[in-house]
Amino acid sequence: MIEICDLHFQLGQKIVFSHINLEIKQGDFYAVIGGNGSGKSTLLKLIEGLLMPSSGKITIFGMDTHNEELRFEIRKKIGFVFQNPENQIIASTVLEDLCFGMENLGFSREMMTERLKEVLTFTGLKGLENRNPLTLSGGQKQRLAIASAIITDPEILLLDEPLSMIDPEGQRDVFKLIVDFHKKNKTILMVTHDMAIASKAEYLVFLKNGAIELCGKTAHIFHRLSQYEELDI
Amino acid sequence: MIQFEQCTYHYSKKTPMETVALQSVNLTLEKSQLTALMGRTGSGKTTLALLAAGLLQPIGGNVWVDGLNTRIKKNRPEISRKVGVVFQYPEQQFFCPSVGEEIEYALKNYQIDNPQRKLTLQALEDVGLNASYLDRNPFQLSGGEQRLVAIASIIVSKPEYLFFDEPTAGLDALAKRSVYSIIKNLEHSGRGVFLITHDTKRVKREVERLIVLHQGRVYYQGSVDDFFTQSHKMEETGIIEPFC
Repeated sequence: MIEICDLHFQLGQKIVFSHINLEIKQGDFYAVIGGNGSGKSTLLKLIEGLLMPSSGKITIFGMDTHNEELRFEIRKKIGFVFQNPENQIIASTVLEDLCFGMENLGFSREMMTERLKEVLTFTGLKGLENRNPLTLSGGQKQRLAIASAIITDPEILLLDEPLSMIDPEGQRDVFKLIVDFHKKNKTILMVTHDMAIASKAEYLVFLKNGAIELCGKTAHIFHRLSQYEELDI
Repeated sequence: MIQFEQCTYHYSKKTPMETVALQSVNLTLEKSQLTALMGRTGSGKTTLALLAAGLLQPIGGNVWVDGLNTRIKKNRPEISRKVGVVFQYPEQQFFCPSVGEEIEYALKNYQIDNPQRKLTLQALEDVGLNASYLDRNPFQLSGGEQRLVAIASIIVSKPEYLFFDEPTAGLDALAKRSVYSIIKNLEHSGRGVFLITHDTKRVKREVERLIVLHQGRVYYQGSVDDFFTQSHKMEETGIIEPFC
């Protein structure tokens, strides 16, 4: 459902990806790891269609991200959570923040009410609907960011270091939320520097020098990562 | 030394969003050894650093930096030179077109004229970078390099006390090692270095002294090793290993 074929991506003189290939199936849970500047966040942005490949292509459920006419459909399939939840909080109440994406996608009133009920319960934000998001704790803010990303029921959730700015308890809660969403047969791609977190993913993709250095089942390849000094094993 | 005397701070005072950040804190921070400040999100760690640097004024009590009261306006330029704060993601605050100008900005701000380029080069060297970085665009550096430049831009004015707020967030293992090596060097040079972090693993490995804040109060002061043998204290203050 996510197919990356012969992807080449260049930013100015810098080659970020040199002809990489990757296929991710529906319901897979991938941790994307690598050193600073290895292209982890760029990969997520390319999948989301925020950046376009210099050559090669990325398809989401068969839809080419190059195709402008399909971009809206592609975005409906994907939720994106950034590292700092404050960068994606835009409204003055939790409720308004959750409704923003659905309004953008033209959800009906009935549908919005139904989704709100489900997601508020699922993310444990029930009772906080009228709170100003900026007064929430770090963990609550990140749960709101995830709630806003999944409220439109995307098939794919992209997360860029979603646990790095919150305390250990918040990390535990937010990670559980991600795992619970994955259990609904959703596809997860999560960028992380934390190898303890990466080890919990089903698959790993390790980026290095513009290429995929290692990719496969975590249980099969994790032991091989200790030789790389940019990874905190 | 930095002394907090019955220090209280509330955000959004007298509004429906009023939040207690610190409540009657009595605390002395000395230049003795690297100290970690830990506690849940919202426990008051960053507020403590901002009060120490005179960037916030207490609503109750006082903060003294080497005998200078942060409430007194004329003390603030000297306090801000004495206390440096490396914020979380400091590279997001870059605004100069070159690394050299970015680092020299603090010197201009503090009207340190003599000789700026030499101090800038020294700061770059202190963070493990060389003169070839001076003319580079800070926005085109890797994440790890950006963090080092951001730290150089704080230490260039040679503050005596330094607060690092989650200095390794978003960095890979190599860059983390560089940042911790800088922190250790600063500690050995006799500065007071205070590390705000959630990284239990690193604190256990790199730090000896710990201050834990809980609900705006000082909950624990003492050795790192002692704290991590008291599981009830760890649970109560949320300082746990998340994926054990």
